[in-house]
Amino acid sequence: MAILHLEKIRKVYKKGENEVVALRGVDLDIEKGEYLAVVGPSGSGKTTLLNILGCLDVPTSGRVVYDGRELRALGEKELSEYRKMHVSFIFQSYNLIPVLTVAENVELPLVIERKKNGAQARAKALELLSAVGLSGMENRYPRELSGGQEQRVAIARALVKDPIVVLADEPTANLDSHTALEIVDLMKRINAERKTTFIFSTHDKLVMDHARRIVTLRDGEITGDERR
Amino acid sequence: MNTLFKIAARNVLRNKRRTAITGIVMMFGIGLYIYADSILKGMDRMTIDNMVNYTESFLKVRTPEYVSNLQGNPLDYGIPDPEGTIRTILAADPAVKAAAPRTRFVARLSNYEDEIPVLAAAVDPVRDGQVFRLADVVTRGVWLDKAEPRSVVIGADLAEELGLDLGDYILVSASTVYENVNADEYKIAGLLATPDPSLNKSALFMAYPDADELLGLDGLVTEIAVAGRAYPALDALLSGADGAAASVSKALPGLKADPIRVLAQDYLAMREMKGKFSSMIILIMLVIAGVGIVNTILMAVYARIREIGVLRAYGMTAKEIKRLFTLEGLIVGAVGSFAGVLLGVAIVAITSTYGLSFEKLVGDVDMGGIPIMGRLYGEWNFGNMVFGFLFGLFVSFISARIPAKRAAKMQVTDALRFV
Repeated sequence: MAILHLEKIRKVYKKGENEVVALRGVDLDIEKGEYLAVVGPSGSGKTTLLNILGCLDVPTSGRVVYDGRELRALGEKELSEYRKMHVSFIFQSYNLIPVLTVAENVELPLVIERKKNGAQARAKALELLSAVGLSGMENRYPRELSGGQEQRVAIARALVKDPIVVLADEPTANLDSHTALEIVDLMKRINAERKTTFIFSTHDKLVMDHARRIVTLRDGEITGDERR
Repeated sequence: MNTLFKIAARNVLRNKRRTAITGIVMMFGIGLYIYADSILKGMDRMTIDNMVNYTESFLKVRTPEYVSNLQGNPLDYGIPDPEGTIRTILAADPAVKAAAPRTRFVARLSNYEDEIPVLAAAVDPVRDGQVFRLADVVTRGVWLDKAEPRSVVIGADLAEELGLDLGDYILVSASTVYENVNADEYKIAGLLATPDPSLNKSALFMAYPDADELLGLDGLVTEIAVAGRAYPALDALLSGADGAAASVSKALPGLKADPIRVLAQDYLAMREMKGKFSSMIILIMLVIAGVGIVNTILMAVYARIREIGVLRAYGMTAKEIKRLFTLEGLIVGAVGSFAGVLLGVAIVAITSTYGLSFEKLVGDVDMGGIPIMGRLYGEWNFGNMVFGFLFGLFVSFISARIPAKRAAKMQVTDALRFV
């Protein structure tokens, strides 16, 4: 059974008098443990699709079903709860909290989740930092890290609460090709080891080449769905 | 909560300049308020003390008829058995320390060329000295207890206006109890420079034997001025006088004992106005500080829109976002308010120890008859300091809520897209 089921998803934005259709009836099933790339040109609806999958945005029409549960029916608090418990995000610009140390940034989802005490959260954060190759850097601040290191911290932050789904919007767009490859390898390794579902949007050929499934979007419609 | 506080506190520290500017505005607002309150309270204390020590006393006993006909200081409605009354007063309340008879009258004082109306009082020089401190402010000459018979003590400014000096003879004329006018010549034994300008400009004191001769008093006493024990704070003094007046009234049916609160009612009514003025000061300063906090937090919100997006994406609710930014405002407010209290404490410590010269502070101006001259000492008011701190916190809380609400309302996707 699909962990995420999208049915006739349509998203329309209003810009003044005009309407911009970002998604035009998207149907998509994503299995648990997939390593899926959403590709397409700018404005094709990749980010909108990821936002809807992560419950950061609501579709204008259509159904989003997570693990058999209809998400459209959820209120603001329940959607926050869904994000808190089941999904994590990796952003193009890393978006670490500058006033928190590396370890505190990684702990943040656990603090928001409030399921672990301070010591447990720290232990889990250090474990994840070790997994992404940043042992010994826990007390540094984001400004003291390179772009690649920042994105590793962001990955550790995304994984710390053992999410079912990780959504990554252009995770390598701000990195050089060597660092981008390291990040892709890291995500792929975690996907293989932890069976975490990775869904990422990308323009990057390198990232696409590593994906096991590529969904192509064009003008808000799925024009290709290739499994490898 | 711990991490929320950590994020809030570190962001406050991160934007040092912004925080410092807002904190300094708060500090000066609250510091100035505490200082203004201390000085106003000091002025109150000084004024009431001066009234107690030089003009009105702790409480005053008169007949109700005399109080109803105060205009013109009539030589009617005297207190029956003044000496017996004084004994009763002294025994009525432990707060009462001394009592002295006085008979006020209106007179005209002449240097044989010009004539000036004066407010005169017949006094028992020794007992009057136990109630009032006029003997201490005789700058030249002596108080009546050490003067020759047929002497008077007058205000120094009055003497100057008539070109008179110590030892000069003056003509005093006044209506007698028989409602005819009598006049006699007296020697100036002393010149008074009190903290009450009205006394300096128009007061004349003479001993009872001389007043008897001039006015035909025949033992007429129109009021008994009463001294009370020392009180460290103004409110305690006012309450102490109220209590003593109540005891004296109870012990003396048919007479009216008015405490200093009643005797100084015009001034105290004005003091209420001063209180409102002082509240206006803090309100204006704290509104400015509040605008500063709104601005500081609004800047913080705009500087961290993407951060808000991330926190929301990771499941932080709108309420928690609001709490985070409110907390930042509260931290700025708490630091500013605490610094304000420290500043206020420092200023009050200096002014309450060393005092300020009232003349230097406001110049040589007539304060509309208010007995306020000399060295002005700030008064401690710890309740007001706590109020200042809490009010600062309240203002920062309210001010921070406005931008915090805006942060909480932000759409997650818009926040994440924000560049």
